[in-house]
Amino acid sequence: MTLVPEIDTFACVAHGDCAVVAPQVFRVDDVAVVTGTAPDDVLIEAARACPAGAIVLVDEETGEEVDPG
Amino acid sequence: MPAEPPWLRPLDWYADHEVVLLPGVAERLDTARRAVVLADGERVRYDELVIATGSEPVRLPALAGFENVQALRTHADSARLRAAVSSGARLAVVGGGLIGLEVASAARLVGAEVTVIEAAPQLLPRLGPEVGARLAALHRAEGTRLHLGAPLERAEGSGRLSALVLADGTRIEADHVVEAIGVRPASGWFAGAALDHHVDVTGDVTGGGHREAAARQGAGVARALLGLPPAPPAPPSFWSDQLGMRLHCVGDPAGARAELTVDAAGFEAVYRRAGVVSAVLLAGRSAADLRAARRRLSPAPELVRSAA
Repeated sequence: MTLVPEIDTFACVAHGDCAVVAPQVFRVDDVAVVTGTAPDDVLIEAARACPAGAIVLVDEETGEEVDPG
Repeated sequence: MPAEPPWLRPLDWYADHEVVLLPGVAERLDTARRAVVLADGERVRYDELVIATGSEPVRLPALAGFENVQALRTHADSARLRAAVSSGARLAVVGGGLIGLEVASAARLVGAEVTVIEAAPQLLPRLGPEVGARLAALHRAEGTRLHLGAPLERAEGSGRLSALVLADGTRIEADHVVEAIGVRPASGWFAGAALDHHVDVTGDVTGGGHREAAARQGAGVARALLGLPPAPPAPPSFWSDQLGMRLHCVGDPAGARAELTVDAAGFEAVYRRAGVVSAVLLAGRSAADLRAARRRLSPAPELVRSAA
């Protein structure tokens, strides 16, 4: 599975936890922005860390959202 | 600059955003000269000052001075707690709020014997009796002993605390004690200063209480200082990691009636006041559920515009 991260800018409050877990993927200003990529396990960890549930992980093949659990 | 916690962002974030971190303890505010006086005597001048010194734990006089009693607020506190909690250690938690319950769950994970003491007759009264009872059942199922409606009367021991005695006479022996009865604003250092329009006070130091509210308030102050329009209003929200899941509350549950839906992964509580949904509590639900709840409880943009 290859996951693609997106930010729900309505939900994002710029807590910044994603940028701590995966600084190569997320930069946080007013809201988080995706600036790079990382293996699925890193993306899942970052999405789990987000207190706002604002990171949407999309399975590249199916286009479906994958819940980080 | 010390390259160690508790910086909220990676250290290079500060330099990238031209933020100078100046480690020091603010001791006094001199608004007449627009300066903050640090504990080492240094004066930091400002044009605009944002006070965001947060909150500090409330401590009980009855527990003062014991070497095995701690609060949980700082990185050092958490390191100390981690060292004290191990399999078989007897941990007593005074206060059944969010922090106390998070500590209890985490300590159970490493096999400590955990007892939580709460003066109120239920856990988290603001979330209503239904949710309080559900959370109590889940914590008990994890093996945490709960004493509800049982105020602390006194502590036994000298140097080290050996036992807590409750008002009903129950005696709880403990190797380590965490005090988690709440916080108060860390505002003592500027008490008495005449605040003027060059000073903004934001976050927990204003008496807030949750990280999300503090983050939004801080961003709001920054936008105002920069002359930017305010961000759209958002419902209040807090979260807590305990019982192996994340609890997330969006909206205002105070005084509302909760309707619970329980499943294997957790539960959901929908709060209604006069038939209108005022809050949603999600426990062990998906990120998509959380985003949906937030949308459901946010003011419609059209209404905000017409009200402005």
